[in-house]
Order: sequence, then C-alpha cells, then structure tokens
Amino acid sequence: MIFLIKSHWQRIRQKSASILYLPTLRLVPLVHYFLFLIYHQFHIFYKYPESKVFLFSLGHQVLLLFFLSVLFIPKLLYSAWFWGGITAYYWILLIDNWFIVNNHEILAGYWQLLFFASFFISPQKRAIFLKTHSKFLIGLIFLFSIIQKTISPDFLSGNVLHKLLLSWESYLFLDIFLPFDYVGLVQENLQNMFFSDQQFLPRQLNQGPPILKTIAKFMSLGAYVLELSITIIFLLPKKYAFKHAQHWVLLLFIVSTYFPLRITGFMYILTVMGLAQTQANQRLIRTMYLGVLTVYICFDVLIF
Amino acid sequence: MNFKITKKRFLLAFYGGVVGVFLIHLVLTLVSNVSPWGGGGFGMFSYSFGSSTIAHIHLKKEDAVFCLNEKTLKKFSRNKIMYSHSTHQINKQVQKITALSTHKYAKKIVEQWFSYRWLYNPQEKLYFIQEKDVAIPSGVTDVDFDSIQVVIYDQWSKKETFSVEVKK
Repeated sequence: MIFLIKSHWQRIRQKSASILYLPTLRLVPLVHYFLFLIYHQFHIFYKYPESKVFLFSLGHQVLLLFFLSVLFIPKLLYSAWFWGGITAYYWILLIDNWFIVNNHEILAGYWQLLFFASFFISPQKRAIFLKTHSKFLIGLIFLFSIIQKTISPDFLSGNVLHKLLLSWESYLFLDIFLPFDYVGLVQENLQNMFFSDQQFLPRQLNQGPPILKTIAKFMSLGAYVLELSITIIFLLPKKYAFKHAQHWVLLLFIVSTYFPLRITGFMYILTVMGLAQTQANQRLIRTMYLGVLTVYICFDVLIF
Repeated sequence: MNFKITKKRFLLAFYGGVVGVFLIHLVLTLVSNVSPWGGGGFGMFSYSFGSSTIAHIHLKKEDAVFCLNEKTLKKFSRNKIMYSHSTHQINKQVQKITALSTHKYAKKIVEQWFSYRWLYNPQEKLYFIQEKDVAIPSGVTDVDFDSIQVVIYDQWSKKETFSVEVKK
C-alpha cells in the first residue's frame, strides 16, 4: 500500500491539487455526489422505503441506475435535470417519513433543495448564492439546536451525555484518560440493559464514579459553547464577521464532535456545505475540509 | 414573472418552511410524545429520551400473561406495518394471532398502535422483545385471552402502557 502511494505520489499530488483549485460550482457537486454515493445511497435510500413496493423498490433500482449514470456521463453532474430528479425523489422520501427521519437527512434535504434552486440563478451569481445560503442554513440549524439544548432539562445538566457515557461504545476511547475501568463499566451496563430488556425490567445502569457525571457536564457545556459560537458566527452579518472564522469553528466542531462519536451523516453534509462557502483561492481551508473528510472516511470505512 | 421576485419568493418559502417545521416540531415535542431526535427539530442529543423504543405485546387473561414471540420488528409506517426484511416476522405473528379465535382484536390493536404511532413517540428503532418467562410455549397454537396490552419503553425506561379489552 505504502509502496503504491510512494510510486504514484507525484500523480496523487497533481490530482489532489487540481481538485483543490476547482471552481466552487465544480467542486461542490463532485464532493456532494461522492458522499451521496458512499453514504446516502446505502443508508437513506435503503432505510425507509421498504413499504412502497413500486416507488421505493423498483423506483429505487431505477434511481440507482440514474444515479450511477454519472460515472459514464460526467456532464450529468452539472445538470439541473440530474439534481432535480435526485431532489424530487429525496423529498418524496422525506415527506413520506417525516417524523421518523433523522435530522441530518432533513438537513441534507434542505441543502439538496438549495443546491437544485441554484441552477436557476444566473451563472455569475450561483457561487455567491450557494455560499450565502449554505452559511445561513448552517447558522439556522445550529440556532434550532441551541434552542432545543437550552430548553431541555437534560442537556446542560449533563444527563444526556452521562447516560451516553455509561452505555455508548463510541466513548470507549476515554478509557485512556480515566482513572478507573471505563470499558468494564460500559460493558457491564450494556449487559444490564440487555438483561433488563429481556426480562421486561426497567433498565438499571451502574452510574460509575461521580467524576463521570462531572465530565459529562463539562463536555455538555463545551458542546453548547461551540454550537453557540457557530450560531453566532454563521448568522452574524458579513460586516461583523471575522475572516474565515466560520470555517475554523465548523472544522473544530466536526473534528471534536463527529470524529469521536462517528456521526457520519451530519459530518458529510456539513463538510459539503462548508466547502460551498470556499473559493478556489482558499486552498488551505479546502485542504482542511477535504483532509478531514478523507481521514474520516479512512477511519470509518477501513478501520471500524 | 420577474426573476428576482421568484427568487425572493422561493427563499421566503424555503426559510419559512425550515422555521415552520422547527416550530411545529418543537410544539409537538412539548405537548405530545413526538421524538425530539428527528423530524427537523434538530434536537438530537438534547434529550435523554426518544432515540429508540422497546415494546412488548401481551395477551392477558386474569393473572395469566403471554408475551408475543416478536423479536426484531424494525420498521413501521403511519398507517400500516412496513414491509422489510424483518417485518415479515410481524406479519407472520399477526397471522399466528389470526389463528386464534379472537384474532381480529389482536390484529386490530397492533395496527391501531401503529396507526397513531407517527404522532406518538415515533422512532426509527422499535424493538419487540419477548419476556422469556411468559412466552407462549412452543407448539401451543391457541391462547385464551381477554385483553391485549401494549407496553412501550423508550431508551431510558419511560413507560407507556395501554390495553384493549377483547369483546367476546
């Protein structure tokens, strides 16, 4: 593997550099398509539609062919017809399953709609349209998230994260930093939960040492402050905004939250929306977004 | 039609929709059991309840309780049980109840429960788990019962129970 990378290093460098310099209107559909292919295709379209025999079974196969046709006709990637078809299908799916659809899928639907609408904007203003509205949309959804976290009695008190810390395998990496057998605690709780469910008993979790609750509170507060910062920075009028601040704070949020928790859907869609706010000359920021994406995919697909 | 007006109208409708969905979802999560974890309210990880659901279906007669042998129902829809690789199991289960004399009531309660589930703590994940102690013994094809009880647990044991009397 390393030998292959070494022998093709020059070519890889040239290719990746050419991707970094792509105009926004070329880069965003490309990355969006790629992520749609590796994530949405196998998660969203397969997850909900199983009750609709024609529309979401036969229709799904037709959509799959339609979607894969881009590999043979790359021009389709920049066509309003192509994205219009995908958007229409996606929205039928969303509306039909609205209350049970995950939030990141709804965000993807919003983004999909904005992206499709951008085809009807004059070519000179299209990139600005995408930049402005992807930024505003991110600000808006983080505002909603902050409102929910503020009114919830569970979040700032640390309850949500405490329960997750006690019973979610995503946090096992914390074992390195904790002065007790954290992995053992989680395993014990998972076994308890399984037993309680089997025996029709309320779940009883071993609460672990009090420091875990303190850590949960601290982590909750950190996430809250970070989300609040994103809300403010993304919704702030342009004249008050710090240069590029939105990219760095979004990247920090993605790396600190979605990496350890492996929340793939939000990570992908926020990265695409972040990329939509970059220009061809912002090479460092684009490298960061694409680098974060590549590392995540490598970890997610190759390691876990 | 002026293009600028069309763009303005689209954006107004778009953001109006986004905010509208959020507000409707927020109100529903406050006044009913709609899950804050989905539906465009962007409240995932804000609440400690509402990310998965466990249910038991009981056939009851006086002190006797039989828990249906349903393990892996995963999908549901607004007004019908969804078909999926696992859903044929619930269909099979419903057919099994159909073999009983009071089949239509058992079927009705399962369907009824699903029918308003879209507004009643709708979750992506629903697990039917059988209590081993009160499972219908293998080989038994007929169970006498006079009420059907559905017990729902969310991820953190918030319990909700309802039952329907079977009319003889």
